[in-house]
Amino acid sequence: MAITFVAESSFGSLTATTCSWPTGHQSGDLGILAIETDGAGTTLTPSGWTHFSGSPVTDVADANGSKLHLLYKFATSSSESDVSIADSGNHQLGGMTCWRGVASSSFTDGIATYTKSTASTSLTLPSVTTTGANRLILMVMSRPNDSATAQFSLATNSNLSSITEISDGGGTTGNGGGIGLQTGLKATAGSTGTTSVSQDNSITNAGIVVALVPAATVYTLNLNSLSLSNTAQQLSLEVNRKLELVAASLALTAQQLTLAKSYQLDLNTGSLAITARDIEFRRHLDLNLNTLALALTPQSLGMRQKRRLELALGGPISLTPLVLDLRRKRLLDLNSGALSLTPQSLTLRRKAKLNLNAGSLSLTSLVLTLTYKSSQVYTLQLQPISLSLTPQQLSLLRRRRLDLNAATIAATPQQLSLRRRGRLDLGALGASLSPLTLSLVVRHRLGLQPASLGLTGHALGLLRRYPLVLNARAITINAQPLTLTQHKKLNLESLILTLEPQLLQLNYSEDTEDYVTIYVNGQPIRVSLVGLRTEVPWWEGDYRPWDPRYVLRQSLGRTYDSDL
Amino acid sequence: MATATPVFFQSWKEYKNEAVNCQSDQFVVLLSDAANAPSASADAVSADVTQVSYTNCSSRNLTLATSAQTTGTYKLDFNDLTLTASGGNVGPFRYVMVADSTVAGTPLVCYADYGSEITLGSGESIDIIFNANGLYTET
Repeated sequence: MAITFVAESSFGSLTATTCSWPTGHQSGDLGILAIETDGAGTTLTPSGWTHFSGSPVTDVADANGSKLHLLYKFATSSSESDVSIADSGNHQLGGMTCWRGVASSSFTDGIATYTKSTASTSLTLPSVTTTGANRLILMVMSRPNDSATAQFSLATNSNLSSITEISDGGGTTGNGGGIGLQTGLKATAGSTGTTSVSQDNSITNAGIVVALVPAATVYTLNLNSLSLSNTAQQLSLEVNRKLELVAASLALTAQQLTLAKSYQLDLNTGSLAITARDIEFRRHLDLNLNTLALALTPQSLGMRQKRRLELALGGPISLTPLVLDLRRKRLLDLNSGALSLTPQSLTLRRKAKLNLNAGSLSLTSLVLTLTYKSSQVYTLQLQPISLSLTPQQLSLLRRRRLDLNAATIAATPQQLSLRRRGRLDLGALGASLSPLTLSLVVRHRLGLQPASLGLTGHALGLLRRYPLVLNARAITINAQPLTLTQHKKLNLESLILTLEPQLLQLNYSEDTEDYVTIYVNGQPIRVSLVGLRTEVPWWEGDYRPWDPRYVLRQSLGRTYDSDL
Repeated sequence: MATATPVFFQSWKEYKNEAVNCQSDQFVVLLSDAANAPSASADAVSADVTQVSYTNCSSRNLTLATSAQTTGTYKLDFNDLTLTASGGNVGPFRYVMVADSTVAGTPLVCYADYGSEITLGSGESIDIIFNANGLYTET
């Protein structure tokens, strides 16, 4: 650490006086007090101060001479008290310099004194020998002449660098005198050699040369603390425990995540990824997942008795278990901006309820099954703005109901079956229902009431006593075969109706002689039957081609070839 | 004054569970220069790192301050250490490592980067200040 000059103060008086510490001094700084009196003056030793070795130095020990006092003291605060300077007999003048970065002990590395009792205009300050690098060489010179002006030239010494004049002043008080202080840096250990200084007047001089030792450099390395986390291989919550995870981001990757009786798991994070192989909820458990984005990808998501899974997100939800099974009284609410639900198998059993409310919904399970047992009612409510429903097989069994209410619906199962009292309601602005096979069996109702409806199954069959009600502003039916068999009723209520089966086959029971009736808005409406072939076993009744009002009646055993 | 966040040597997590007794083992400080930066993944014991000469260096032994747990959080802490050069230089060095000299091979715990190379001249020193939370905590 290099020694630096802080500041200086000065004084001069015929009587006792004080000298203040230089402004800006700090604890640990070295104060050097230089006092000049005449050569006959009393030696001054202010309280608390120590003379450097050899101090004081007198050139001529009478009133015409000069006595140089050089003392030191380390500051212990930044507000050191003024130094009391006693009366030496004639005048006392000088000043205090403050130095920072000086070693706190063994701080001198050579001291030499200088006296010149024969007047001249030059000084040759003695050398000191240093034992270490970067010593600051203080060269202090006094003079006895009665002058307040600077007297000394800048010192010259080829062994020193950065020679600097700190002060060069004096006073005319009493018989007057003055002090000069210069410094130079001795970069390497060794002798400084002598130093030459000239002065304006031919006078005597006293002087002291001191090598100051810099404080040793102290580097500091502050170590921050580390943390070691041990990831639990098993996380268990026992009876009535609660686990709350509140984090900006959370990754939960247990191989198995199971919540058992009365456990609650709240996950509130900016984003959440749960990739447990199995997620299982048992009796009365709640899983609340409230995140901006959620990826829930267990291989199996099972909810048993009275469990509830609520996913309410502004962002997207991706729920992709291989198997999604909702059993007795389970409720799965998915409310999201966008929802992708792609289990390979989706099953809702006794009073299970699946609510999908999203800005857009993609439900693409291979098999979607709503199962009936007892008199329980299963409900699958799909109410997104847009809906893509593409199971390979969509089956509604006894008393199951599928409500699809969306602005647009595209449902393209390969097979759509509604059996005993199954009900499928499509309430959408636009719906496209295009199963490869659509079968309605026994008292099932298929109500399709979109603004426009495209029913494009490869085969559309209505079997015994099932009503097919199509209520839309525009209806297009272009099943390849459209078969109405025994006691079927086809109500077509639309402003525009296009019926384009490749085969229209109306079959009736020989026993009951029942007939099929096609009503269009309760009134005859223009119907265009465009197909390769229209087979009507028997036809009778009013028929007025291209008349928008008609009632088509058909009974068994007759064949009608139509060019409708 | 430099502040650094140490980096664990990856192997330490195994050593601490299989061979180390933090309560009784002697831990030391090791130094390496900029050209021999330690590797958290590749270095495991003191022989894996190229160290500076310690001829003019004061004792590098750390004294244990804490090896205990509080409410389930374990803390390993040492008293601050001052390394002082005497009779000559120490360094240059840049990396300060902590190692367990009791365990065979002297497994490495962690290292800190001073940020630049420094050389301690005779009489100069470096204060290694441990955080109030210790060298590390373990949960």
